[in-house]
Amino acid sequence: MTNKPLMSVKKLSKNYKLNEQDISILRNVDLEIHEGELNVIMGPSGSGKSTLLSMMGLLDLPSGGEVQLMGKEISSYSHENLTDLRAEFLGFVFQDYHLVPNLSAQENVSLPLLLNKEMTKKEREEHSQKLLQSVGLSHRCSHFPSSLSGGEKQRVAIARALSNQPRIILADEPTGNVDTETELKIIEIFQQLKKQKVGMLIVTHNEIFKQYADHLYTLNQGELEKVV
Amino acid sequence: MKTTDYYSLGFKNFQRNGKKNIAPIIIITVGILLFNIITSFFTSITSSVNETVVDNSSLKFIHVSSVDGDMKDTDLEKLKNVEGVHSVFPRTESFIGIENNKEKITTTLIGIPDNSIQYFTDEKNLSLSDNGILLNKNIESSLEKGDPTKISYTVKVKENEGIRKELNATIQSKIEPPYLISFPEDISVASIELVQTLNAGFLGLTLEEYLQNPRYQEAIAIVPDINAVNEAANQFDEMGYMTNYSLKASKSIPVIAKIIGSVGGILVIVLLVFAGTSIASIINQSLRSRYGEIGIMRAIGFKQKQLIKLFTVEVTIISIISFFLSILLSFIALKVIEQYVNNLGFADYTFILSISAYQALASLAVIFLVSFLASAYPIKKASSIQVTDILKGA
Repeated sequence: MTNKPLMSVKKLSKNYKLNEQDISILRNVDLEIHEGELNVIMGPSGSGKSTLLSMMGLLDLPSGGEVQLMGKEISSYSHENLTDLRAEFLGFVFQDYHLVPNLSAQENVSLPLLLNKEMTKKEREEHSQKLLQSVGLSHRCSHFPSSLSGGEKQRVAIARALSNQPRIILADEPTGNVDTETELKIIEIFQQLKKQKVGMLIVTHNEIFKQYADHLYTLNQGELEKVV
Repeated sequence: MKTTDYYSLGFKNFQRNGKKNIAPIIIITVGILLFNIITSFFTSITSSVNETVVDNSSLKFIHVSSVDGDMKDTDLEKLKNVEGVHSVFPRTESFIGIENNKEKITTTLIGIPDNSIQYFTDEKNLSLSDNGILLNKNIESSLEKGDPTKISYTVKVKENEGIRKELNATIQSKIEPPYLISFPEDISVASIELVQTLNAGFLGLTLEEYLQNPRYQEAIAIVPDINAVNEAANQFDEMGYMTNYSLKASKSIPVIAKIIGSVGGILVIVLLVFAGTSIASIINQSLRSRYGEIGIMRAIGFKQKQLIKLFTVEVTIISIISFFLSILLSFIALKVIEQYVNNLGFADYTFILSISAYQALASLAVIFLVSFLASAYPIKKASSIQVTDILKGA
């Protein structure tokens, strides 16, 4: 582990206006993601977990505080620039998978690679097949999402998140819709990613992550507290 | 993202919409089919009118007479000043014999001024010589252009007594005679001076005596622009003259074409608006059902303009299918209608209904315009939606 974080937020806050009233979702959140570390945030529903993940994932802009990615302050970046940064450094895993139904598992995994003009179709295919193999789905390459189980869909979504070789993986309830067996497989994949020096931030209700987390946080009413 | 990837992914999305694509394709195809049928009818009627009216020199002649029956030189001068009138000349005609050593024929020679010769022959730069004749080519004769001949005509010597005289002449050209109302079909053309000389002789006068106080049965005005004929004739009427011209009967044809065009145009617009609404609805539904994946695509780095391009491919596919289908159906429908209408035989001319390259291009332009206008808003909306809203809501 190096001292320089891949990503960090300092005094991050997010407020919304609802019926003329300011609602504070996140308050003074400080968090760092380092290479090969698994960061887990737990907390009750509505505590701001997904909002924090959106901020860290550059999907939404904070109301206050700093966001640094690869050592650069990016709070004032344009949407276009943030999109480029997401494509280059981040990978996303969501509870609902969001696979494209008319694309095969392999095509879904290849989707982020379409943004890379340098790659040929053959290279994309080979790369996505390797990724599917790494999540134990080499036999499901040509299958469409409708013929995959929930656990398989989530593993395809993870493979997709890894296809652009991100430095950071952001996952929102990655085991929310899967059975126990798949849950363990997904945790195993995250363990492998740690070895590949990928930094991870997982927001979840699932207590099982406590034992695998390098850093465990709880988020309550917008305030982040480090547990481990 | 490579262009081929846009097409590949866009085509897969199009396939995914499946039967939902059929409705906009059918509606837009029917709209363009109707557009082509109406345009072809309009073009056919207009070209028929052009063929029978605009391109027919006969319809550029207005026969003008006065209420008291006599037209004088002063009347002719007045008529010349009316806007659109190229020339006015008196009706002068003489029934003559033309003979050479081979044969003898008869014709009614009408006199025209030299500045009007272009309305009687296609030959350019032709100028009527003193005794030149433009012979009616419908008269059976072996006489050809350039042949010397003699005009045989009657000269009055006393009351009810005349003698035949001959005048050297040349066949300057052979012409397809124009149709002039109330003129015989055997008309040939010569200079007005020659015909007046012949008429003067018939009356037992010299040309000078004949021209001292001439009175004519009618005057003939030439209006080169067919669109100005009615206007000029109306002005003659307002000046107190009586007019007769072939276009009077043909006035209704362009009006019918315009009515067909207007009614059809409204129908086509209604159908195209309907098609546009249908496309907007289908694209909107399709994109709404994909908000989750649009969200993930935005999250993994697809830019708004890349998504717009991707969705545009789907609309382009709908447009291209509609285009080819509508052109094919239009072609078949027009051939069937053409045969049916011509078999009915209610018109004097033959309907030729076809799709020109311009019409096909216009169809393509209309299809793309309607499709893209209709889908612009749903596409813009879907591509610019907040990623977090999509992912939370999905």
